[in-house]
Amino acid sequence: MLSRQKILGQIRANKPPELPSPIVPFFNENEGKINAVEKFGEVLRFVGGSFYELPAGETNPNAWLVRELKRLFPAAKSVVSSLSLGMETQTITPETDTSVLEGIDLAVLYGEIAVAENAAIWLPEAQMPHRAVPFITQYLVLVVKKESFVRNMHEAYQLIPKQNQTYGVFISGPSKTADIEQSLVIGAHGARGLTVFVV
Amino acid sequence: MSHSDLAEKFNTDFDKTTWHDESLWFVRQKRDRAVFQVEEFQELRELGSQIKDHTLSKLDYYLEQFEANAQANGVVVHWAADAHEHNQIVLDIIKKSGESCLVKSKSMLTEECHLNPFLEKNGVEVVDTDLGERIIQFLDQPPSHIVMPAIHLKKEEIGEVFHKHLGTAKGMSDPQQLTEAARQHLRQKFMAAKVALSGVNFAVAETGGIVVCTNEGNADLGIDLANVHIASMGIEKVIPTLEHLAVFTRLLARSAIGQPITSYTSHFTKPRQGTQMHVVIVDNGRTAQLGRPDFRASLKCIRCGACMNTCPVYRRSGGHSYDATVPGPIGAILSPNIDLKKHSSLPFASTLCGSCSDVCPVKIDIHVQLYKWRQIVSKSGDYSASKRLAMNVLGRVLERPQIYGRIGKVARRMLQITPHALSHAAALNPWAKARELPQPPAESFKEWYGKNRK
Ligand code: SF4
Repeated sequence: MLSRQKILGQIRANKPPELPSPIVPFFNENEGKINAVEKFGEVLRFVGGSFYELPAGETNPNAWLVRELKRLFPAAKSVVSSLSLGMETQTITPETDTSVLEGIDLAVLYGEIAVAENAAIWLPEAQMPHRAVPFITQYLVLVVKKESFVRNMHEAYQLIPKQNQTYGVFISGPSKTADIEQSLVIGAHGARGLTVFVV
Repeated sequence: MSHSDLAEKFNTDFDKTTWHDESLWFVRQKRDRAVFQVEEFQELRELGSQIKDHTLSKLDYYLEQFEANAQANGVVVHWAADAHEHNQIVLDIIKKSGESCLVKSKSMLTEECHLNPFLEKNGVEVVDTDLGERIIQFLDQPPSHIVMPAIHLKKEEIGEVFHKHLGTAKGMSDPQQLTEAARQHLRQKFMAAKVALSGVNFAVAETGGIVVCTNEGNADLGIDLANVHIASMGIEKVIPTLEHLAVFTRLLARSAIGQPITSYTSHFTKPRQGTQMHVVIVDNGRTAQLGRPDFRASLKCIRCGACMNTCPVYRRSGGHSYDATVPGPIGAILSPNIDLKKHSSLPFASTLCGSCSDVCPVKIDIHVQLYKWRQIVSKSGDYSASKRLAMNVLGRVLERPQIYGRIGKVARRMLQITPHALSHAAALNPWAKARELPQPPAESFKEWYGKNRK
């Protein structure tokens, strides 16, 4: 407690006169000119992710999703999902033991907001069976609704409630590192791959 | 040792220096490509700068707001006046948990506080989980860059380290394979560890939450599996609102590595059910810096590293030549604040070209501050005797135009007749080590002007 008073006291003694807080605009003059879904897909590929849109005329998104998942991840044994996919999945809860989490091959989760400028997807705790799932899984699939796309981070944060946050992550592409000689390697500690489906 | 002595050591391997220079310039170019794609980037820099200025001017208010909201979220908030207090708080939390292993994601603050050796001395095993940090931890070296800690090492050197510590095949140097080996090794550590420590990129006052940005996902993996999360932050990390956070998430990764955003931008607001979250707010010299009008802007830094990647001196001298926790241009203005005597050579490790200030996402006037520190260093007399003598003589000559003219004439003649071996003797003229002297002109500008003026 002593240090708290000391630090705050020194700040009060040393801080400069008050400066105004700037108003942050939304930078959305280009509204309408940019196709957010298209831009998102472009950026996602740049950051190492893959991108699939529900084909025109496909009337059963769920069936399409399951078909695609089986095609893309034929070897995935332990699958976790917060969606009711109608395929065999493993039940994970916040109490699930680490040793079980470790074995997850594929996690299929709902992303709540998709940001076109940087291919980031907002994944709050409510969409995670356990906080570690999006990171510990070998491969991550995020499913996003067409209506959930925004242009930039200003718009995204406007949609995130300020109250009752617990934990949430913007995920843009798979886990990566360039710590060895600046060579980009996908799959550092987190998911080795990120696939996004738009439904 | 001074910066120039250490830089000289770094430069003994010419090829490696060139490689280092080019690697960092490559990152600078990636930064440019990312930045040019955002029309409003310069406006964002201005906003970033103003938000930080505003926050610093009400820092006490925002820290208290952050604390109150964090506590309401069930987070335990600690305050540490200096490095030692910070380290002691962290140790006490670990001890109370009954654990003896800590997984750690990147935190420059804990480097500054020398947390690792302190914990190890007290029986705690510390595992740095960022790949670059794990590499230099094996080597027992400090980071040479704040974003890419192992940028000074070649893949063959890293292969050797992994061979020794992780048992990988001798001679293996493929980055993909090395990263995979580290992934397997660190997964075991993640699974076992019950206490995780992270840094803080931003602390949001209105939500009481902290934000951590990584590409590897190591911070989340560690924290989400542990029972205790400790987050260490400097007092300057707080920002008022999520609207402000939006600006910084757009600036940080583009400036740092040319990515539109980091792979993971994680918002830790409440501890996971049944677990603990602690935030340690650290001063360690920052309030003193806040009291220095000429230098307080350095507290706006969001640790993106762009000023290092662009700096011609950093690129060719390496991060270790700064002998400070934060190297490069920003380190050269932060370090003298902490220990003027030890770091007196750092403000001179610059060409004052201003490239650092040009790329800085929060518009810190880095090169101006470097210049101002030089004034302070020269007044305090903390710089080398030969430089002081030279500056004194030069000062006196420049004050007297007639002497200046006469000396100039003599010097032009002398230079023409001085043998190369003498003018380039490294001991006498370090400037000429890798440079040729220009041909001395036959006459001075003043003489030419006298003749040609109509
Ligand atoms: S001073 Fe500016 S450019 Fe340098 S690390 Fe800090 S924020 Fe980045």
